[in-house]
Amino acid sequence: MIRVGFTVNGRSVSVETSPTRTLLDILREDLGLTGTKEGCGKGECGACTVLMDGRAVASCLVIAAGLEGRDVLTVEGLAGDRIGRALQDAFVEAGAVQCGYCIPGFLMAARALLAETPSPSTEEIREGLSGNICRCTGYVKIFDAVNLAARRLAR
Amino acid sequence: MREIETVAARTLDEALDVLARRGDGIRVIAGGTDVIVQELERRKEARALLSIGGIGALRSITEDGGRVRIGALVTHREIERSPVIRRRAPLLREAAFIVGSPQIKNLATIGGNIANASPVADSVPALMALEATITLASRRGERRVPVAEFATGPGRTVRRPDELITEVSFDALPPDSVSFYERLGQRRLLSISKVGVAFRARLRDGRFAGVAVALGAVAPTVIMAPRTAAALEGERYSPEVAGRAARAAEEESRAITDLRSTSDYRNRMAGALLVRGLARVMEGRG
Ligand SMILES: Cc1cc2nc3c(=O)[nH]c(=O)nc-3n(C[C@H](O)[C@H](O)[C@H](O)COP(=O)(O)OP(=O)(O)OC[C@H]3O[C@@H](n4cnc5c(N)ncnc54)[C@H](O)[C@@H]3O)c2cc1C
Ligand code: FES
Ligand code: FES
Repeated sequence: MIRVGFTVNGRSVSVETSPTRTLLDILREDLGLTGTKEGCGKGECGACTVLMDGRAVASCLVIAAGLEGRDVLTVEGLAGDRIGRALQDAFVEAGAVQCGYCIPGFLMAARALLAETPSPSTEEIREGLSGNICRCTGYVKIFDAVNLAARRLAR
Repeated sequence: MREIETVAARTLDEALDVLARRGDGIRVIAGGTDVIVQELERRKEARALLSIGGIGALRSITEDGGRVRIGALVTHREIERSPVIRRRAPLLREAAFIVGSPQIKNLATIGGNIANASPVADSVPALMALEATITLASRRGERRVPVAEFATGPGRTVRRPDELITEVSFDALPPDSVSFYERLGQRRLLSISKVGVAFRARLRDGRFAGVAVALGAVAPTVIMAPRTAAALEGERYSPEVAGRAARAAEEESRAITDLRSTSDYRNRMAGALLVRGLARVMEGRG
């Protein structure tokens, strides 16, 4: 067991855990932040996407041993964030959500995209969300929602 | 994931000490995108892990006297975004862009891509066409190995158990160069096959000079394709010239048939990707 300290949604946390436990499991099971979902568990679906030091990563592929001092943002932290709020509103309005399982991951990937590229082209939206799989929506309304949020944030 | 003893090194010295003491008994983990998946799928089971992600000194891209140096921990995302790489090695930018997805690229390091020694590693053909050199460090000192001589088979390399890859370096492409990396299959998930072709050459009076071609996923390791390069050397670009070189690339490919595709298909894709890439970079250049 090791003890690691890092921040989650602006709050400092310290957890005692196995060094090879994944960030995904720590968030969901130790910290009770169940907004982050597990899909494939091996980097292919994007359901577990969180931001680590501002970058979108698959939290199922990050282990505790590399977490010390990191700054993590999860879907629970989006409501306190300008881009995050705009994305949440736009997803609702564009009808981009069906079963919802993939949505936390899409929101986090979109949050990383818009922070880096405030006015993305359609191609850039596709690339930014290329690591996320949705079994329900067919993606079109998700892309529309990101576009809508970007246009509103630009005003 | 099951609990594995893990040592987190903060400096290169610390990491080399651990490797000198434990060598074969401990496995390096950088971004973890290969190691964790291999552990989960029980393809490899490490007794202990040495986490090197915290070594700040291995994270930079520099250009100095025409030599580009990339630290082992630089991620594919950082390569894709680097102005130095965009200007000096556009084929490597194209290769980094294609890797996985943003969530993977932000974790996946160049050192891990090389050390994993997969025949389908995307940055390796580009580095081989650049004639890049790997620096391996250990308590015994440093040595340099051409990328082309590093992998000896799938997952097998000339790295010794106490060595760490610290950087990969190559000469910046001269301004009169053309280069590309073409891969079949945009995403690992959806891709049928991952044949990849890397190419670089200079253009002297409209003729190819100093041609280098490397092929991924058509042999047990990424391979150089010297006969393909020779078919282009000194020639002016035309569809016929590209076609001749493509046939050489097909002959140099030694793909195997597996679940994903037949060997014949893969070998032919190597030729087709070469034709596609040449058309893309030569179109309108005369
Ligand atoms: C969903 C998904 C999609 C992917 N798509 C692609 C793709 O499109 N193209 C592609 O090429 N790859 C792809 N990969 C594979 C992987 O992301 C890359 O090979 C990556 O570059 C590995 O780097 P890493 O830092 O994550 O390596 P790790 O997993 O940390 O390590 C990989 C290997 O290298 C060794 N190692 C790492 N760093 C060093 C070092 N400095 N010195 C010595 N040994 C070292 C480790 O011991 C291990 O054997 C994908 C992986 C996943 C999970
Ligand atoms: S659960 Fe992490 S990418 Fe699928
Ligand atoms: S809304 Fe159901 S998986 Fe995306």
